[in-house]
Amino acid sequence: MFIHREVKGLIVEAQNIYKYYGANLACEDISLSLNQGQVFGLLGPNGAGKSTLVKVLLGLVRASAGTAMINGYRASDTRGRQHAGYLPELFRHYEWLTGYEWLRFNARVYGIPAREEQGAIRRALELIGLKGREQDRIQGYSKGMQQRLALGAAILHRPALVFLDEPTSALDPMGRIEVRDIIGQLKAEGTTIFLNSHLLSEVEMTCTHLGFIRKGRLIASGAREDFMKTCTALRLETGPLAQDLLNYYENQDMVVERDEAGITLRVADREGSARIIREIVECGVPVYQAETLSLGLEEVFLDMMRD
Amino acid sequence: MSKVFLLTLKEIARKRIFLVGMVLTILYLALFATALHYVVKEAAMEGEQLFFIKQLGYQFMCLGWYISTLVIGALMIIIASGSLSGEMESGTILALASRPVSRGSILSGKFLAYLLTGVLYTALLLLSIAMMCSHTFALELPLSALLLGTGIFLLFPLLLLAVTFLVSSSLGTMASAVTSFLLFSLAIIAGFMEQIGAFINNANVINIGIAGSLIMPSDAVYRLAIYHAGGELGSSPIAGFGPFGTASLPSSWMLVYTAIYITIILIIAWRRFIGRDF
Repeated sequence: MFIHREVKGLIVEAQNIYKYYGANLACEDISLSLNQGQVFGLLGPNGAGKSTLVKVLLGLVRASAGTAMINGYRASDTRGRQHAGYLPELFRHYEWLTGYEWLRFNARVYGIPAREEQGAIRRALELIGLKGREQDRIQGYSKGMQQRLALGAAILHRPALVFLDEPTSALDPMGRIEVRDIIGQLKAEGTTIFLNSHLLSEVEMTCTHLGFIRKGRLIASGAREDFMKTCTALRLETGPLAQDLLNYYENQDMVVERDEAGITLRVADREGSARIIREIVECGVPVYQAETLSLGLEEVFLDMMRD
Repeated sequence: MSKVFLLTLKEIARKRIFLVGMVLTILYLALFATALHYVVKEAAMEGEQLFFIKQLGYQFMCLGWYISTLVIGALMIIIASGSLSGEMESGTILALASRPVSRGSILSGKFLAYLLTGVLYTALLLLSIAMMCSHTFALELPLSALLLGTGIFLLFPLLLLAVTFLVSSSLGTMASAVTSFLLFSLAIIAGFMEQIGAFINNANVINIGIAGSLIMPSDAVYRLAIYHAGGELGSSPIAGFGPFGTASLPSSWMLVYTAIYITIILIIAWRRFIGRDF
């Protein structure tokens, strides 16, 4: 089977990327690196610069400053793209082609040997669930089918690196689950995945690493577990809390929720939980119940996006 | 490049505009042939009248080729204006440019596919008209002259395509089509002014026409092509009559100028396409 796997070292490397559109700054001093097999989820609000960064890495957009490399080659070098796949957010096809013709064109462009072309196309069609519709013109495909086809074209040559920009935006819930499975399969094969998505649950389930981008700046990146650790909370059912103590926690931006029954506070670890309970008890307030909660990626995201 | 070239050929063949263009071309040729038939129906093809019939035949060939410039120009502009800007506007270019295909290959593959289509279409159209006129009016056009004229005329689709690609690499589909048409129209007006200037013997009008042709030399290419295609007929005094003839024949240097013009235009289009963001 034709597999591009000869890429070693850093798969994605961005150093001090800047991108201006006129006076607008779309990317500001972004540095990032991904190793083989990492599934990187880039999170940020609309217009934060996620798609621009992907386009810079693929050489579709020229960086105003900085260096972008994929698979060991500069972004402008077509050799780097030989081992990369890309599903754009705005996926558009040559609608006068059939699905099969588009996949065959991609197979040839990516240099899949002729004897393996049919096998690669068949495998992609089965994976994306378009088998039986491949001889239809793309203009007759639904939006979801077109997105599946774009995904099939991106992974047809089993690339070392895949960029998926909102890969499930046009899909129904079943389609989303299928795409999640495909991502899981690519992950199991050791493919490096760069995922842009608004669906936090999708990112939480599939990504090994996360990055947060806001107003063109990559404000944080790292292993998913490290971010999730910062997002545990302590739910306490207590007697009435003194205002001084409440102010103290609020000033440290620890309060997640407050109600008549008690308070939920953000904590970093078990020691933090123990310290809080001790502080409250020392203030003479009874603690009736304590529970550690996971706040989830949504809370991490909201936290990151706060100015 | 070959993959983009073949993909573009497939695109041209499958787009409705091309099919409609072919059908209208056949209708145009049929209408032209019918008109020629009725023009000579009752003419005597001998003696002194034969000389005038031949001159008339050459004038009809000029007319046919001139109308062909409009047809070819429109076809080239319409199919090529959407090629770059249309793909950039719709986003389909992302599907191509994100593959291991250089931008140079995308541009040259597309350009050559359109050029091949334009050249074949132009050659077939011109030779069909020339053969019809030759047969109907017993023109006896020398083959070498006809091929030379047709060869010169092939600069016409190349020129239109280069200009449209340049504009299309910078502007949107509609804007690039309109701009290309305006440049083409300027050349038509310049050509007419040059001919009228020669007819009324007014150097200023001729010079204004020449200046227009320097901005867009498509009409000069047509005049030189029809002049050379006619052989002796092209250089006869009567050939100068009418707006489609060569009362004022552009200098042969205009061909060199056109070649340089096309080269520069293509280099600029290339640089713009290579450097732009998608």
